[in-house]
Amino acid sequence: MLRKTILGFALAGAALAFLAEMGRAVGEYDRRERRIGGRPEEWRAGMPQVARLERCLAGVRATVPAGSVVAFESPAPDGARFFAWRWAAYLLPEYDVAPLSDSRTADAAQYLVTYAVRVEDPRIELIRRLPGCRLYRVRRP
Amino acid sequence: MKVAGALAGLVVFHVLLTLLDVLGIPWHPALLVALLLGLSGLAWRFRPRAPETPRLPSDLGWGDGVALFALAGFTLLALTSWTAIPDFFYHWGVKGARFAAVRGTDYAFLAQPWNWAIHPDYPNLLPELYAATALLSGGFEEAGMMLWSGVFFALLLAGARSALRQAGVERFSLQAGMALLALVLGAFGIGHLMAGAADWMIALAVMAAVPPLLRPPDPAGDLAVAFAAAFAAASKIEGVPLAGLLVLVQLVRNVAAERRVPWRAALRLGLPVAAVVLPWLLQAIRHGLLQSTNSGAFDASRAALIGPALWETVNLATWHGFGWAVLLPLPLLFSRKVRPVAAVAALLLLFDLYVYFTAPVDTGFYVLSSFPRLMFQVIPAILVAAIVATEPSGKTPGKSERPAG
Repeated sequence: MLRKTILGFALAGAALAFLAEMGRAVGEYDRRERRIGGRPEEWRAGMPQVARLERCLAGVRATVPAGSVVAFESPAPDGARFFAWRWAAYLLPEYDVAPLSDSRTADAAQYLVTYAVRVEDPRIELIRRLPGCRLYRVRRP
Repeated sequence: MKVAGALAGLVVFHVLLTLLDVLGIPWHPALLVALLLGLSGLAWRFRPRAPETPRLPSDLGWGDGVALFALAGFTLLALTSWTAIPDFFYHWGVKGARFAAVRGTDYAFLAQPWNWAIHPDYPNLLPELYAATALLSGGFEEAGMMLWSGVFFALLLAGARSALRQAGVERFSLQAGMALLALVLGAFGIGHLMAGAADWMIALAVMAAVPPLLRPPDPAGDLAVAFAAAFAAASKIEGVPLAGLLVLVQLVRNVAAERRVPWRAALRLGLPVAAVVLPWLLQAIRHGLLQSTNSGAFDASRAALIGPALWETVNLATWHGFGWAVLLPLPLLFSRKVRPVAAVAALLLLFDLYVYFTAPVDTGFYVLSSFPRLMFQVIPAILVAAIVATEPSGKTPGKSERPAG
């Protein structure tokens, strides 16, 4: 009897937990397009920040050959910049998307995408303005 | 045997894709279809001869209905990608999409110096499944990838049901156990954003090994453990030590039962795991993928960081109190009925602790970001073992079928 009671209470708790999590998730999903703030590490699929980045990167495919090494830079502070880079890599899987902050990127990158930030460097040549970002070609000697 | 059979099929599929990579043959959709048809044909040809026409279990009840509800709720939310694990976007999904784009495992991509962030040394079964799904469906769609978590969740529940039936628990325990397990996993799966996570595969591997670990060792059980182990080793890097633990525990049981070294059991247990681990290791070494952050010197002083972080993860809100189940392996070791399951869970958790004391990374952050998911890998099997262990002896058991695999 004690065992069944314990199991019953555990079951009731689990049911409440599941319903609470379902309710919270459904509510958050309904409000996702109104979540306009948030650092890159808080981004989730369907949020406007991801959609903005997607619009920016869609133009890269029309210009850059698949398989190219594309450096990526965003204005986020150091830790958050990592996550913005990871989202860019996910949205451009056919390219090798490298973080501009990595010292090894400079030797390998053929193109550079700057998202909501300006980069000045004599080695880069602007080839296209995209929604919210710029696409550069890296000049090689 | 059905869950073990499904895992065996996935393991064989993984080995065949690895072979295609080694031979330099692209993963053409038509070739994938041929492989899947061939595997299905082999499964049909060598299927166990059932004594009667297969049908749904006659003891389906309210608990199964609740489990189905939890599974459906989790899966529907997963399809929106809103509950997707961030790691899907940071590396699992990247690899899957990349492998689909190039029709194979792109080792050159994995070996790029900045791609330390995508765990290039991890086994590739999950990205392979994502890539194959993309190639067969005409494109990489997140919703389709999220469905795999629903599949793994369903197989895990099927494995739990098999284990509880095999153990002969009474009807209330079976139904309550199914409902409890599904609701706990569903709640954590939604709240902790687990859609698309490879941790479902490790949890499934552990659960698939529970039925054979709950009965005296036999050849069918050895194979079930072997393929569960191989599946774990193909899924995540912590699946490799788990595979070793599963094989070791089953081998020790064989030795204890036969009072001699059972070479055939050793072969049954070792070959599937070797077929997965050896190619993975060779490719990782060949392409320079192994990461230095995987191991380091043991540092006991980290206990001051690890202790509080573990306390915080066990009390995580998304566990709703069920995180404390991670402490159950210790008392469950005293139950002869479930000692092998408790041993696997306890040893795996000890291994995880060892990694925290040695990995040269930010320890506190490492525990907080990984231990909730490592707990998720063992808690399902622990809950099933707890129900079996506390089943009163001498009660008329529920219907128990032939070995469940």
